[in-house]
Amino acid sequence: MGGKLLEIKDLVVHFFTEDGVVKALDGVGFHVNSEETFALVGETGCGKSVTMLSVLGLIPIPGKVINGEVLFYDEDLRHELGIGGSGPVDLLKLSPELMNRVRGKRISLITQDPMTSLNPVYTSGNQIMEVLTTHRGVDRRGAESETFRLLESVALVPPKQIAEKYPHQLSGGERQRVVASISLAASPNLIIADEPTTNLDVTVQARILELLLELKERFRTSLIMITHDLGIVAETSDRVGVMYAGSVVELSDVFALFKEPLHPYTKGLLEAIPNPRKRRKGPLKSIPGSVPDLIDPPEGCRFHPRCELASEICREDKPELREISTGHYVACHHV
Amino acid sequence: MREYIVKKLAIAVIVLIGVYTITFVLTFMMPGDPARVSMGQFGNPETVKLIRQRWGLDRPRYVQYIKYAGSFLKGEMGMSFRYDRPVLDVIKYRFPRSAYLGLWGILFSIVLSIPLGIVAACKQNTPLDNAAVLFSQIGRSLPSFWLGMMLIAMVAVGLGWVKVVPEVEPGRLWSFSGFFTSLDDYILPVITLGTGLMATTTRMTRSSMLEVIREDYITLARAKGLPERVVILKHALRNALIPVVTLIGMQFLLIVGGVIITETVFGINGIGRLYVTSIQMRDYPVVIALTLIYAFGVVLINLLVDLTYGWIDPRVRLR
Repeated sequence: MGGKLLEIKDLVVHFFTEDGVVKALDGVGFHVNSEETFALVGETGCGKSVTMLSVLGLIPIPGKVINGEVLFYDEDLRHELGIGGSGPVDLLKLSPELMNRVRGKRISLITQDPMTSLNPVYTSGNQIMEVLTTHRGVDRRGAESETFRLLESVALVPPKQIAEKYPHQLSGGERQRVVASISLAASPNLIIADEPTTNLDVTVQARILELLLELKERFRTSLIMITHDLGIVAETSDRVGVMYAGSVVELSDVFALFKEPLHPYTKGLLEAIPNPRKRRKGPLKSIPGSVPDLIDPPEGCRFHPRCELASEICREDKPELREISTGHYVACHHV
Repeated sequence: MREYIVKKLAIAVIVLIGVYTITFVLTFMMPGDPARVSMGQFGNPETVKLIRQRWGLDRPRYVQYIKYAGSFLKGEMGMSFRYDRPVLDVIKYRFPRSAYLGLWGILFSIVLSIPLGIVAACKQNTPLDNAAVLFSQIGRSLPSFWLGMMLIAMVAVGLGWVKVVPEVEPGRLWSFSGFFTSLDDYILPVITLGTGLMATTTRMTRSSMLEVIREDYITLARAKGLPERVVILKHALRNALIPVVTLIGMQFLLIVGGVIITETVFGINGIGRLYVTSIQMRDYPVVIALTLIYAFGVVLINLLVDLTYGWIDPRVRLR
């Protein structure tokens, strides 16, 4: 595992809707090392996907990045894009044209729902090939043989037949494999997988996860796994970021997080998982209350209305991420 | 594929027989006697009787039904009461003008509305988008007879840029060069006919695009790093066109009404006006012939729309 590849610093994203300003991200910060799997966990609406879309520069209208940096650590990138200077490149400052040369090429995306993420009117081969012709400057014939190779690497055989098929002729698992091969096509440094298995049959989920990890090893990329499933986190990741209502509340390597969760929200999440091996007394624990309205979020720590430990300071002051032990950060006044 | 087309055309024959029967019954149920109409209010009853004999109107209905059917099968479509010539000749003389007007009306609409709809959707809620929406709202609200008269008053009479009544020979319209050069004469009728269509198509393209660009596959296409042009024109447009094709197909059929009005306003001697006067004059053979041609057009357009679907969307492609 190498040094830093991607670092997000103090990212603030607001959505200017008709009902008011949705403060979707409120100072998100974490980093991802090269060749590691980083999991971003949290409930629906906590800002996981928005964080990743801002990395790709694809926040939908009316969203806007208010503050922050998305730093990409790669010596070649400056040279490749023809921009001077040194050090990491702030992706948020790139022009749309330059960003197009990062998207798909350096950072690629695996979207949530394989049923809707492929364009229904083009063959799967066409949709893989366009990445190759856009980023690798290969001609049609070269792109075709490369496409077959990619399809083989995601275990879709025979590749020629799969390439000629339209998305509706493929199963959910097959489609997600096609999406995976699209994400690999330009050999990126980082793949962002946004809940890649949520919409798949349980039997297929495990196989897709295995495939992603195997590909990540083979192609030596980093993987950001966005999920709300702590089971997937435990099985796949090296490090974890836990998000709540637009900020990262805990950041740790996966073993420390499961062994010794620090933030009350993380503890709540872990306690809410049923454990079939343990006999449980009483009902399964749940976190009281519900996710706050991000148009008018709670002052101070956004978790305080649902937190058992909440005190005066939590209502007034937003806790910063502090390092408690090596590599284990938490944003809570009571740790 | 071929099987499908053959099947559709076979159905078309049944449809045409049905349409013929219904039109026949309906025209003869219309009050008024063609012979009396042609002779006027004070026509000599003897003459009227002679005319009825000559046109075969004194024969039993079923004989007339079969006689007309026979003349259609022979291709001459009977004799027009009013013009005293084969219906086919009457129609052949007028059809090129109406077809020219109709086709250009729709071309005008498509060529302008689809790009406008795309741009409006991509720039949603900007002044450009608002202008496009406003424009299409206005275009839809303008009655074509009013728009036609305003264009005549301002552009043809006021500015004197074009002729009020198009004068191009019907034969020239469909020659290769005439197809484009005749537009000089036909520009006002084409705008009159096309504006309403264009407004509707713009709206449809815009809303369909807006729906499509929120799809996951568009996000994925952007995440691939494709240039925006490719994302919109390759990935979004083709999906967005599916409902637009339905609309344009329907417009080809609805346009008959628009053609009648436009031809009347601009004094173009085409099918639309022929239709109206034939009904007024109880010229049954012409009415029946035009209705049948229209019905055949409906079948043909539906077939074309179906084939276009298959071409755009592999999910409805036929095996």
